[in-house]
Amino acid sequence: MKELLKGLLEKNIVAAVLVPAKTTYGKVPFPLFIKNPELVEDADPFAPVMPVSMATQVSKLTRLASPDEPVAVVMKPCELRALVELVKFRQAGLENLLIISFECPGVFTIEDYINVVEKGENPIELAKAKDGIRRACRGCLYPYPYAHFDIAYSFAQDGFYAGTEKGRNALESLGIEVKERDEEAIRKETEERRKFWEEVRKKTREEVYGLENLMSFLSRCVGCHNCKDLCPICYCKECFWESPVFDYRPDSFFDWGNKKGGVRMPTDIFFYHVGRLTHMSLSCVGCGLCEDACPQDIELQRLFLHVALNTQAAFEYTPGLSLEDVPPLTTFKEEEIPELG
Amino acid sequence: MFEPKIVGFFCNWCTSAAADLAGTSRIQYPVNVRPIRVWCSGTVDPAYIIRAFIEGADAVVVGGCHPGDCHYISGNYKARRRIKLLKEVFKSLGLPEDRVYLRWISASEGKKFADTMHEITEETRKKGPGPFAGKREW
Ligand code: SF4
Ligand code: SF4
Ligand code: FES
Repeated sequence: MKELLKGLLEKNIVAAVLVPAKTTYGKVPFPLFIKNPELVEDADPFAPVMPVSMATQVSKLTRLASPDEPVAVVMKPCELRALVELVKFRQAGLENLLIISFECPGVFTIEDYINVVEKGENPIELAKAKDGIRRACRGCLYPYPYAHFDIAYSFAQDGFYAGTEKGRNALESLGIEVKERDEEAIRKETEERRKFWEEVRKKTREEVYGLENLMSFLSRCVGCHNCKDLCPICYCKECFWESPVFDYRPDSFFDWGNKKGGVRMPTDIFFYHVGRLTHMSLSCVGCGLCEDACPQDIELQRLFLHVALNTQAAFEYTPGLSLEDVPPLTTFKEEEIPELG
Repeated sequence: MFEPKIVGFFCNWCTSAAADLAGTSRIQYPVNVRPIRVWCSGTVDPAYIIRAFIEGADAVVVGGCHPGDCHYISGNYKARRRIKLLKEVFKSLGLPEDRVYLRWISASEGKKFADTMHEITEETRKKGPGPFAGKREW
């Protein structure tokens, strides 16, 4: 992969590369925007850790305008699906990007990743053996690039295949062999992970069913909203759930006190989580960054993805697969939803 | 006896006018309904419905113009999708989606307005208090 990135830069096929890479100060690779081909040495494209979503970084790069010169971006499949959603919401563009993805073994939490590295073990090999990767990844529904990628790498095939003509040309002009994608291997791997998710989901369905259960599930929530800050789908500059319309005057507290005796603070844990599900669940790709972000270790990904798969099914919508699929809340039909009149 | 509290988000151009018409025609409707006038059913983000429940509503009804009649052309179609979405979220979490109502009531349907409010009030009376009654955490 590094040779590919270096070649792309040296042959001027792209003018820059955006890829996870070593940082100067820590052990966890972060996205690095690279212009100097020599810096590709620091790239760690397959590092099985995801401190932030690359989708968010691509949005930062492309939201105000498309880059004038081509940029190659290395993304995990879930990051790519999130990016597809952001493009639909006009928060990012694909123009002048060369998207490189890969069949993803899964990632560790930041903490686990650091531990593995400190023990001197090889994180990629462990990830491939599914040893210690995040629960979200073990149950990943699309652990392979689905669409909108130019080039993809497969560990199993130890090689690249192309998703577009552009990708094929880039590979060929660097003299890199272009393989055929092994659909059967992908199908098998995906099936295994979906089975894992189904087990998780079964348990989750019961655990969060009913107000009492849901509130117990969320009982440690401190209302920091980190989960939405790291969510690649939550792009709003000002979060609706933090807007002053929802602030209370002191009399509200006294009213509740009179009626209920007292009130748990901070309030609005339910309000925020259930409300937010009505905003982002249709585009939730299950990447698990919400859960990684939670200081209280609440297993948010399985809660959110469980609900999301229901709302997505209700609108026959799967986020992140195709730019052609229109987000359900941005459109309507005159004749539909007869149960609501 | 349990007196349900029902929060209504009623479109200015239709359901709110229907409520006025019911009033001027001296058609009684239950005092259980607390009407809130909104510019269009399309302005009702699910947030407001959830908030109404938290604040003690036993049911919430959104009233808009009939399909095709929205003053802003498509607000009610969008409202319909949002309510469907909210109901799906509620269903997934075992929350009372049946306490969320969407009704099309035009400005001339004073009688329909009163009938609908009776119907929702009686249904809610049977169901009993809403999800956050007596709860001190949300
Ligand atoms: S959720 Fe899927 S695509 Fe994303 S890091 Fe995990 S395995 Fe890879
Ligand atoms: S990150 Fe965790 S504690 Fe913070 S708001 Fe989200 S669920 Fe609550
Ligand atoms: S104006 Fe009445 S529903 Fe839109």
